[in-house]
Amino acid sequence: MQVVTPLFHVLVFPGFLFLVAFGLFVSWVDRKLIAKFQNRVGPPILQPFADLIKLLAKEDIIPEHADRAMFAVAPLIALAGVVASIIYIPLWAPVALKAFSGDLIVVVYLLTLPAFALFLGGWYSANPFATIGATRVLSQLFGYEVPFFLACLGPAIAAGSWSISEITRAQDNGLWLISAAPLSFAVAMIALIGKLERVPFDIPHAKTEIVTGPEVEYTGRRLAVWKLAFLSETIVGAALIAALFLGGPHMWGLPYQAMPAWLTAIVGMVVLAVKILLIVFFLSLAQAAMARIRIEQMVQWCLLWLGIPALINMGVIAFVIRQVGA
Amino acid sequence: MLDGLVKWARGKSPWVCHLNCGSCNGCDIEIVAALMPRFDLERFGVLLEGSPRHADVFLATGPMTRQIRDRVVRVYEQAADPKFVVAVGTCGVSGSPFYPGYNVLGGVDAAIPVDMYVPGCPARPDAISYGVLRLLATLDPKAEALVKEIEERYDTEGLVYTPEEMAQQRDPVEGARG
Amino acid sequence: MTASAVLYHPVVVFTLCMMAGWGVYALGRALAPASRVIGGKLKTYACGENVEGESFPTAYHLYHAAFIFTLLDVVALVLGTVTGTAIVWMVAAYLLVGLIAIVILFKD
Repeated sequence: MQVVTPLFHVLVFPGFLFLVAFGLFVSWVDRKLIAKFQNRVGPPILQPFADLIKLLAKEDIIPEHADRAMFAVAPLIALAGVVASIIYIPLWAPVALKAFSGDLIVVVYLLTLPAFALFLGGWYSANPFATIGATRVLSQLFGYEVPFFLACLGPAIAAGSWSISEITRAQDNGLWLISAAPLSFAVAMIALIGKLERVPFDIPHAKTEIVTGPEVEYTGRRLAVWKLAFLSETIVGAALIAALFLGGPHMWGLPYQAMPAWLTAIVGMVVLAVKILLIVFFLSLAQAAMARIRIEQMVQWCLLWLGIPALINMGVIAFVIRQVGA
Repeated sequence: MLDGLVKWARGKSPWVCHLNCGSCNGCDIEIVAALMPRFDLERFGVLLEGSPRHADVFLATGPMTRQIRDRVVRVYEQAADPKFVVAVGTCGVSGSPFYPGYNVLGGVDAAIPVDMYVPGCPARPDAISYGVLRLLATLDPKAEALVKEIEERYDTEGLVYTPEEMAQQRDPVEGARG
Repeated sequence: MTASAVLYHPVVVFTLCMMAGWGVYALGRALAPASRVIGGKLKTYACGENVEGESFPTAYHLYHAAFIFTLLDVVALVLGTVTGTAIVWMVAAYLLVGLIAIVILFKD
């Protein structure tokens, strides 16, 4: 039992299988929302699932000049980095499956793995489009990574802990940390768009310009794993922001004291799912409303208008904590 | 059971790649029109992909010119199996007015195998989507029922030709003999 | 060290997820048709042009951004390891250094 439960958590719920299934659903919500914004009907609910099965059932091609091992392993690294980080994020209770001091830093760096994997996969495809896309992935990383990290530090300083579970538990009294770190929240949301490489920051993929950038040589199951990695990253990134700023599974006005433990878990899960869907709504809205910008515009704008507000918000929180604590 | 699932998925998720073999851009604009909100092919799972490595269906337009032949063959070969080609527009079907030209080899099928022909100058967006649907009907039985329903409700005569029908059109005697 | 402490360790979780991803590959291998190499199927895709795969040189013109990234990542990590009991002027000094660096690099 001691071995089975953790394995179940990592591979089935809330790990791999659940994340893939929920990710497919959320990607349908995303596509349907964009279709609605554009006054279209949009795809049926099983569309992402059909896409996944179809991609799995396609022939596998590794280009002759690509590095075979790197080409095959890069998508797996991206997927594993994303799925592994869900274990340390609180989902149904204010405490994650595993919490330790500093797991916030582990999760933030696990979530940068897809970008590095994308760079490696693109670079070792030995394709002109993929090479350009790979350099753009790294350039874009310079733009959003520091603001995202600084934005995550805001609630961490306010809660006085480096564990995501501790930060979420600090919001259990109903005082969500978005009230202490509104600028950090805005920065984290915009940096998340860059992290997920969505419009207007889809510069590394740029379908109309460099085909799909680093993924251009990928077919079949390897492309399917890339897609899974990105849609899981959407969920995990949204869940992280919800846990840090929006109280994770907490919702005002619910009689938590009167509920049995199992009901609390289900309600918490539903509340978090709603928060994730709200964040995805914001992402879809941005995608439908905006166009792609250039890479150096993105990096400069992000460092200036995301980095500085995040720093300011962090400084204010640190100062206030210092004054109150003294 | 897995086999049925795969067939269903292939019929539900055709990702198209647009292949211009020397077209005048008329049919290309009609293809784009078919993907736009008015016709909204995404409700059938159609997505426009740039890379042939991601695509299942090529929408090939224009007469096959001598210049582009090698490149079209290379792009077609680089796509992963199973892959299909829809020749869009009268030029794609036969080379049309350009056919006897020194630089034109004929229709799209002069270079790569074609699975469905959509004539028209330019081909209409609804004809293009009907052609893709007819192609999917060969994969997925459910799409076949949809094709039957459409044929009952609308006049689809001459909108789309399968390779067999096209062979018969070109040479009634040889085509009938098989 | 209990079994759950080992199995929830980030490295172990990561390895397990890698194996799960490899399971997706195995499923794909079972579903996909066998690969048939015909003509130039394995050639590098370049819009149909016949290119030989090689490492394509790229010009990198965002050195200042990379520099800021390194700087700020260090600043952020230093701030991250500061606890609530740290001296406040140290925190302020690091924030100031970060701000000055951004201003210098973007002043033109």
